[in-house]
Amino acid sequence: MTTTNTMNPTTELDDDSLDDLKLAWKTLDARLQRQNALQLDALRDRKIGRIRASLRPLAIGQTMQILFGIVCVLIGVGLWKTFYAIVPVLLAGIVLHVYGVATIVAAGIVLGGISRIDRSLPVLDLQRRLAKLRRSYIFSGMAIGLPWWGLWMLPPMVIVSLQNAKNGVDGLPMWLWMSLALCALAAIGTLWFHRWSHRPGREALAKRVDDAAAGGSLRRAQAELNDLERYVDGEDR
Amino acid sequence: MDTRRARFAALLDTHRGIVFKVANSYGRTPEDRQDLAQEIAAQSWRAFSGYDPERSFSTWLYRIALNVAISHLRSLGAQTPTEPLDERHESHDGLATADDNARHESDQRIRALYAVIDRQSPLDRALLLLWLDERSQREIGDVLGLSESNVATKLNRLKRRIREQMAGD
Repeated sequence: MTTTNTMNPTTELDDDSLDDLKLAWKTLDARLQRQNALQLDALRDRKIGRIRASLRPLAIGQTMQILFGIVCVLIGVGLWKTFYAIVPVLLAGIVLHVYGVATIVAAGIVLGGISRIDRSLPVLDLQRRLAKLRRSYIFSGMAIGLPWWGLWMLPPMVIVSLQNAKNGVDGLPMWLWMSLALCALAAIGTLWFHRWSHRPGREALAKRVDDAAAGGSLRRAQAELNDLERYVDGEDR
Repeated sequence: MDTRRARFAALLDTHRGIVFKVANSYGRTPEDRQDLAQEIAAQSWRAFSGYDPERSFSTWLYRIALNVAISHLRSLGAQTPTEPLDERHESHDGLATADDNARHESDQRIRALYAVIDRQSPLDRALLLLWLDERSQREIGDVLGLSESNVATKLNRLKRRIREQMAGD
């Protein structure tokens, strides 16, 4: 780049080059003060009232998640309290209850993170909080979404069990047992594959698996957090 | 409310250089820089109720400006390329001066300054801006959330890296 020669025509790499930067900064400062004096009025009058609250959609989403969790808890409690004598329905009610509570807790953690965001915090503190918030949000989404691999079985299980109880039939039909077994196998297989892919020597596969599960966003949030920690610890370079 | 707003407006006016310097260092196009300056002012007003008048306004404003700018830069990702330096610099200055040679020289200096700033990571850019603004190590630490000794170490590394970058050009 030729421009730096203007900064320091002698190309000696002593502190003169840094002094040139400071001189340029002062020149720029003076020009900005002169040019932008008039613009500030417009800035104050037109824009200050229109605050772009970038975290608001996230907070609304988490509030909706809490409402969804409450609905799950109410249905779950309704099921196990009303039909406690029918074992499959009792189990479905308990599972839905636990899932609803987990949904509320996960959303609560993210909302707590949002409430701790204060733009006047020291830069590294705030950036660290934002990175942690991103990570919590992604974890929250995964915790709420992944159980649906098995949760979709609950409605047919409850309906069939209630009909059987009404008709005086014992047990569940074979297709339902097979579907439940397949869901359990899929869950165990997924967990086993996740552990296997994260063993030493399979870093590339582990990265692809994580990206497939969280679209790469979780890895990026974690990498961002690691970068910040390294920066604070002085290992940034 | 109006008194508080008037106080904020007066303080912002006095320290507006911080807003524009940060916006110009982190924004990628003229529109982007204008949006960023407005976003910084808006977020500052939003946070002003929590400002402690016993503490330095410039430190407080620098924190907000840099936090907003770093988040803004992250939200853009790699989508928007940084505008060529000539255009950015031209957009800063619409006034003519009598001495064209001196003006040309200072234009070159500012262009080179931006070249150096653009090559730094968002956090190092913050450190560089504060150092160029001749803030004390204590204030830099206060703005960034680092100890004074850590600031000194990072500044030394940054200066060395800038010298190496300039030597490589």
